[in-house]
Amino acid sequence: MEVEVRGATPEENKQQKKLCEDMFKDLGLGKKLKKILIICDIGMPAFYVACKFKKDVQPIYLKDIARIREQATFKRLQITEERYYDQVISILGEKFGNENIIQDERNIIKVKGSTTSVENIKIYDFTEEVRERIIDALWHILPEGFKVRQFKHFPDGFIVMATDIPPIQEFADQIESMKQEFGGEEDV
Amino acid sequence: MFKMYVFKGGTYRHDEIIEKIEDLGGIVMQKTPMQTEIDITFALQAPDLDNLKELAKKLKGDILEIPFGDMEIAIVSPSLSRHHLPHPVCDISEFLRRYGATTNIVGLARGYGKTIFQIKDIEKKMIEEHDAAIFSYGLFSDCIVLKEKETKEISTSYIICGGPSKMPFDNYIGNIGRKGGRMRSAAEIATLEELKEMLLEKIEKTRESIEKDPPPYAPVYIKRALEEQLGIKGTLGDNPVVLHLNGLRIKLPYNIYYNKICDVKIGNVTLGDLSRINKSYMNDTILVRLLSESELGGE
Repeated sequence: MEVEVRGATPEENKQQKKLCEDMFKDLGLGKKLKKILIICDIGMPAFYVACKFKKDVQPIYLKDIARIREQATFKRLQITEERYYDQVISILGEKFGNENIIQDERNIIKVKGSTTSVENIKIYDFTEEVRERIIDALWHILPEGFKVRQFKHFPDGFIVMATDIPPIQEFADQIESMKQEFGGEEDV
Repeated sequence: MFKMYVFKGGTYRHDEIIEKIEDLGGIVMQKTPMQTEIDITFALQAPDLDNLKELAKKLKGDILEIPFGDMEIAIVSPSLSRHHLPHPVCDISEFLRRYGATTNIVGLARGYGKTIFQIKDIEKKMIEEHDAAIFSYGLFSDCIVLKEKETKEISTSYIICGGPSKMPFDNYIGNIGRKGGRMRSAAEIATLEELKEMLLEKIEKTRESIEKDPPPYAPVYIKRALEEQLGIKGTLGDNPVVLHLNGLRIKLPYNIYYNKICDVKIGNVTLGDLSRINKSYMNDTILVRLLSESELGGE
């Protein structure tokens, strides 16, 4: 994880950087982030944070956590990751109906009457969890009183602005320039 | 003037220490036994200490001065959120407790932000009830300058802590801004020591002014009288009668205990005659401020 802090005095930037690094390390999020850029505009006052996730932060598909075997009347799934049992059963139940999902053994699930492929069913979107956890960590890192917030989300990151005054055009302009620097394209 | 000390040693023959303290006119404040060890907190006039130290040496114990033992200190945090607690506010609090201070963490209702920061009048009064206050602010000097202006009206001695290493105030300690972890590195402990030294310096001035015109009875003496006459008993964790430099805080409901406290006999007079007893702004406790000899008319 690379952290860059700009805008304040070098000493303040250094301390803010250390706070940010310590916080993400403690929360185990350091390995999920590629880069964080914090711009402190104390005069305004406003804080801008741009985060970019690493490429390994991807959604989990059924094929990633199960061995799938086609049988005559059903598909047999052997789940290899115990923590996703609940999600697999509930998602398959929603998709194919609860009556068609049979859990024979703890890690064996049979799906009856499925005509479509099950491999690419998204079981768990880790990106969203990482995004939520990073945002939560940011509320800890940014000064407390800055509760007027504005987001710009991208598939692989986001930009957030926090201030304690009503929003003005300058904030949007700064977010736009950070977006260009970070290479975010679509707003999700 | 009484000073606070702690005896650290074994439980074996510790009663001899207690007897000696009482013979020398000292007052035992608290006994904390821990298996074979014991900590005895006591108040004693400084000149009598050498006598006691000889006995402590014989018993292989140690006597340490606890400079904040008769003080209640407010550690003021901009809020009680995770931004400021437990680090560094609790670290400061814990460090001062090692030197005998009773610390209270005061979280301001609107102490955060730059443009929205404010300290309410009731909060100022609450802070002024303490012997000293330590304000823990954030990382940015611009914000600290604005917040310092608000604290100027506070009449009690106070120190401001913040991230930047230097600020244009006399009572400022740097490198204690917002922290992601516990302050336990050598540099951080040195900063806390610096804070302690500055606080001692400030308190020494207050002590000198009290010594020039002291109350007729020391707060430790009043504390013992209160505990004996009202049967107030604390636990190892909670101290129901907290010492101040020129008074006490009694952690009992004001409406029920006001008259009883006024009637406590101190020598030939009552506590009501010797002090101003008010309801505290903190948790319905009772604040006793001892009047000095000149305020009492030299009686």
